Amino acid sequence: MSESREASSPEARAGPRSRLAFKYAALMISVMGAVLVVNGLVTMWMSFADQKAKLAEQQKLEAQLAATKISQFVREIEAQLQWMLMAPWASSSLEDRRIDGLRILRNTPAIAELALVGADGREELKLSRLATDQIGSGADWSREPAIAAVAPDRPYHGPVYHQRNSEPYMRIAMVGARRSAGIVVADVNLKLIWDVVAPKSASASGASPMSLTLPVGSSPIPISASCSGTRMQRGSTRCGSRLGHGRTRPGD
Amino acid sequence: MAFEFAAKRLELLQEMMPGLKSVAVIGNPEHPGANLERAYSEETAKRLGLTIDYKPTPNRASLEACFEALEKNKPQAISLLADGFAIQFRQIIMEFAAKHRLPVISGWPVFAHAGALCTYGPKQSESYRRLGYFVSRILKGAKAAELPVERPTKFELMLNLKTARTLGINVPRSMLTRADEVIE
Repeated sequence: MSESREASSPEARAGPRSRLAFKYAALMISVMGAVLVVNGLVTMWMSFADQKAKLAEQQKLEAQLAATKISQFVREIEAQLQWMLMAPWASSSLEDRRIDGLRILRNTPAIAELALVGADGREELKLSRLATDQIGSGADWSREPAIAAVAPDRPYHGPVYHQRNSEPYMRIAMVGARRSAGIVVADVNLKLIWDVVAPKSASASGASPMSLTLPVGSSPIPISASCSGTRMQRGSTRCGSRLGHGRTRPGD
Repeated sequence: MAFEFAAKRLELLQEMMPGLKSVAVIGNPEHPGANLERAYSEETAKRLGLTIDYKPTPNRASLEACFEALEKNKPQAISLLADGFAIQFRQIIMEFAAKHRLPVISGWPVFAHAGALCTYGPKQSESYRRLGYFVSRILKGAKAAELPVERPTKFELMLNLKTARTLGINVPRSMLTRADEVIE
């Protein structure tokens, strides 16, 4: 009798109630904590996805800008080469054409060598910044891909190659409306493109590489951009920040 | 690359002096690549029909001896290999050349300013700019051994028309077209 009185006393009833309240409070705190953690994780994930998308967009814009600049670089060289092929000049003397060639070398630092090849595939003129110039050597260029592939409406853009395992070069060839006026072939040092492109490359890690194609003439040049820098590639070769894996000049 | 320039300079010299047959090449044999410069010069000279008289001058005494030898056997022109030694003694060399009416060709603009007829070589401001780029890469943690060796890509040709007039040389249109800077 005395035990049942004790159990129904306020102190005895307060024990189970306080334990229940504690459990409710713990449950509420756990649920709220879990909600907050999940919410935080979702927010972080969304923020990460947003940042990733922004970074990808930024890289894409930078790659497009680089592509535009490279395209412009190649077009400017082609515009200079056109001077060697304009009809009024075609009837001029070899010395006049040599002066034209020297002007082009003077105005276009990226061109390391410039050759004028006759319609029969024989070299008429070769101007170089380093090697001695050749006038009327008659060297046979007929088997050169540049000579075989070039057409009046289709400039030739050769594969990227490395001279002496050093700077990357590309051969560009053009022919005027009359093939008899000759074919102009330029070996272009692509390192001058790096000055334009490299500082613009994305630097964040974890971004996936992307690629796009330059609409240069009718021979598109694919380029790819990665977090380590923007690279230009053609065929199986590519020029990056590390050299030493090069190949020799076509025809050498 | 310097050795290729040594050869190219002979060609430019002959373009300005069509009757050129003999050239004295003065250079410090102790600077890196001097042997290659000499070999390239001699090979190009053969192709151009020139006679090369190589004068190694590692010090002041040998330079004086070189002058004495050149007075006895006078060439038509001097090709001066560009290095610190040539810079140090450029005034003496140019005075000797002016006294004997010998055109001088070399690699760096400083020689044209000192009185050489023509200089042709890598654009020095560009080379120094690339040097800064490499220093920056190394300071940012790149390993020097992994950085690519770069050849100069921009070159400059300087003509000294004052010297040309003094020597009675008519600089051809092709040279004026090439020139990046002309001293008049």
